[in-house]
Amino acid sequence: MAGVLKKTTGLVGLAVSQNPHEHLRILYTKILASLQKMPQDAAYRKYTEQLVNERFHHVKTEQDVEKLEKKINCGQIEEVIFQAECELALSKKMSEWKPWEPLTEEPLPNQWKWPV
Amino acid sequence: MMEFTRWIAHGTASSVRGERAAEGNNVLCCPRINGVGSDATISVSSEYVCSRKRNHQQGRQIVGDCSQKSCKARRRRRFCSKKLKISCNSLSMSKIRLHFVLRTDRGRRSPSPLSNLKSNMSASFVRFVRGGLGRSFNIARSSCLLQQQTRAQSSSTESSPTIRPKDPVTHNQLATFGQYVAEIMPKYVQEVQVTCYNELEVMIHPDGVVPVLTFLRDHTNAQFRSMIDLTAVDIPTRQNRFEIVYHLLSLRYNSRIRIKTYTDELTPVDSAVPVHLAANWYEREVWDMFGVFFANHPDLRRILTDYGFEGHPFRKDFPLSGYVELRYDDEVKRVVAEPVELAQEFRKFDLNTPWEVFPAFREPQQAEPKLEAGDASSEKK
Repeated sequence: MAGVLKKTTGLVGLAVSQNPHEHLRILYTKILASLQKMPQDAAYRKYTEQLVNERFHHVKTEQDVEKLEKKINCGQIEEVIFQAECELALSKKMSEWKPWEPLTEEPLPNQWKWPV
Repeated sequence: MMEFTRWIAHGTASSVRGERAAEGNNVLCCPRINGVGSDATISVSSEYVCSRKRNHQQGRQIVGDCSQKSCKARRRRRFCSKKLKISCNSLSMSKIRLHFVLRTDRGRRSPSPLSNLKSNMSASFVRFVRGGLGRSFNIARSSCLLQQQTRAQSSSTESSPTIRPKDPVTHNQLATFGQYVAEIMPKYVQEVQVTCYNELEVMIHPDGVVPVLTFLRDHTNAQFRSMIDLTAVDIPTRQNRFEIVYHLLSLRYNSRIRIKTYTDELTPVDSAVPVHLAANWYEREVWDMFGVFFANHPDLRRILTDYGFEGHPFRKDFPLSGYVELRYDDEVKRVVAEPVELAQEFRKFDLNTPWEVFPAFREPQQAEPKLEAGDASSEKK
């Protein structure tokens, strides 16, 4: 329905989404599944789950696209989809990198001292 | 009557506070003195220089005398609101000099001691000079006056120092976001700080360049999708002498972040090109100028120096005159490079300034608010 009324997003390379709700639902489910593989106390998992669940809740409850955009408040729905795609890619990479582990190496004592 | 305070202002009327010139061929000033607790009169004399004739006309007009009854009636709160008028006849007036003499009558009523009065008066006069004068200077003929130079000079001390106003809201936002990043990536983030100019700086381990940049680009709460700058700093006294600095911009949240990491001459740093394509030429530049090697860079070549150039010119140990000089040789009919020969003998300059360069960075002083990566930040939350 949104695709019928909306001709363009006005952003280069970002096409109008025909079925944003479905698209977002798939993406958010995938992100949440990807986050499940991380340890429970990882800060990235905690914050991202919170963020995604909030947006997922809006997607489930709000059918109107314009109202949904206002509720999410992060640009047009196509941009939100793009953000979700990025987050999904990031969450997969994060599982590889494991950034929740302790610091790899302490800096030398004078490394960040300024002025020298 | 005693002459009390003297204040001389140099400067053009349009420029004292940067106000636009207004209608009329006059300088209008309405001195306002607030809170003066005694009788005082102000006499204003003007002296102006005609830039064409270059002749000084000193003390020509005593334009106004404020010791009016109407003023006295309100002297407690507003000493004088009468407008003083200094007429300026010359069109291309380059300089106006106002000479204010503040006089006070102590005889009639002086409940307060002299010292008290003195400070009171001078303070209020400063206020007058800073507030009333600037507000009220209006000059016509903007066309000729626009070229005039600005010079305001005051013999009295400034009552409010010129300090950059603090912006605690932005500071707290940045500090919170810095904590957020440090909490999510404790493996790589060594230190987070917000500078006094409200710039968020994240110091990371060199292994974490790609993870941190990718996280900042792809995370929904960050979205730092543009790389603004990538450069290096050479600090030869450190063991890891090169600092690599990344500047990122988030268009979504209108905010910037600075990532810093370090390396030495031999250790390669992971290239940021897979994350930000803009890093390609920046990394070539850093390679060219500092000799920092970037691993996995698609095309790491010299970018700025000449063909066949040797060395890395931005290193601190690279001599200012370079190693070779080029000249055209008539015999071989081409440009030849020769080792540089300096005509002047080596001179040692003492470049140390006698002044304290970083007064804000004295050793015992408390450092800027630092957020420790990992555990310490989670305690605060």
